[in-house]
Amino acid sequence: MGEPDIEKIKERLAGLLVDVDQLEKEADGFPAVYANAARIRAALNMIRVNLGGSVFE
Amino acid sequence: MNSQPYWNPYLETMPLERLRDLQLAKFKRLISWAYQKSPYYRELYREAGLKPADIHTWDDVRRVPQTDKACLNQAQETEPFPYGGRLCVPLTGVAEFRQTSGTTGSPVYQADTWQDWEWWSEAWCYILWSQGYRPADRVFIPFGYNIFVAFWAGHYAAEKLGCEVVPGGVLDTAARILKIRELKATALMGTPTYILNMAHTALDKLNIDPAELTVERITCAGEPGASIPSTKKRMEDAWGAKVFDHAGATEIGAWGYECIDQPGGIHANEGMFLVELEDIVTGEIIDEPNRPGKMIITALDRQAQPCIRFDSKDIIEWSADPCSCGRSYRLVKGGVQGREDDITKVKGVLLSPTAIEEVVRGFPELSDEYEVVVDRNGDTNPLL
Repeated sequence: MGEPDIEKIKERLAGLLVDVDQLEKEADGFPAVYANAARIRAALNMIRVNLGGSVFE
Repeated sequence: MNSQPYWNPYLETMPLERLRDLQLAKFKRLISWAYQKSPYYRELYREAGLKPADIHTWDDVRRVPQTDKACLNQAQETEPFPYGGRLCVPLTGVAEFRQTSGTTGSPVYQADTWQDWEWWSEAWCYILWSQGYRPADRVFIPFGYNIFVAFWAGHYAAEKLGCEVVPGGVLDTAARILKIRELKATALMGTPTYILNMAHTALDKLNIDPAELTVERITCAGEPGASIPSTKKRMEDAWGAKVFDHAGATEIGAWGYECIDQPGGIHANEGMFLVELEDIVTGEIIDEPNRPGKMIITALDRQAQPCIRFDSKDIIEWSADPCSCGRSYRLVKGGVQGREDDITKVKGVLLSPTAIEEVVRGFPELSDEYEVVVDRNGDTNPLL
């Protein structure tokens, strides 16, 4: 069982959050994409909380 | 992955000092959110002469006004219907409705966004993983899925862990037991009273010994029984399974859990909640172990209707000993001992109903039900 590299995970997460922001913008007028992107954001925010962050960042 | 003992090895073993820094940072963000988004919280803090930018230290945190169930009921009377001014998101952002049972007053309506719902199940993941739930488990949930939050989040957390979840929904007790036997379920969730009731039904009506079924672990909620040694033993003996406690409430979230080491208490999930303990008489914050007080709790990541410095009326105390599991999250000794409202003075001594339950359920010849009567006889009030 390896030790998780927290900084690397945080970096990866930041990139994913930027991507999901962009996905939401590009999904304007496409509910099926927008709604699923919002759920991805909620899951990513829980990763943020699990890394000591806040959903209010 | 399955041999990893912690759901979150980063937070659950974080040194306490770093954990405190993290909590303070999260608390500041939460206060800013509530102040900006909720008319109720903004007014509450304005009246106290407090702005989010004023909060820098733990002493500042302690100056933030507390709320309690009466405050929540009062806030609920304002717009927008039905949640009132505590709501921090537009009504279109609310994904889930739940309500409290109203045992101690009018029910409180609880709005949750989808983000909050993810948060609920995440908090339950800490509970279930720490109690040994793994993807190979088949989890039977004998719960009437309804307006009360109860085991909803346990259901979604078990799914997130990768378990197979069997919703026990509207089946009656006998049908549930037969389904547990038919599917060889390995885990259960229920209130202590119902878990005992299921065992009786299995034996008395179906001639099935629940200890011979395949259930290995049971997670309890809703009553303090799973932290009361004699009640826990009664359930474990009946089912031949390990019984674990967890603590939570609709307006707070799932804030505490007993881990697989069964240390005689529950861990406060200090990565997601700020648990403060306050002396009932003086209001002084209690950090030392073995001194009971009432719990003031903050859910650090709840969006729609934040729970900030909420006076839960629950009586708890910190344990002097760290848990053998290695988590740095502090242990609440003996779980929730009772509610401030339930504490009775008998012959000058403060008595909680849980202390009586521990004695009554320690006698195997007595049944599960009991009634406590505190009479008044002149200057004394004997316990009958």
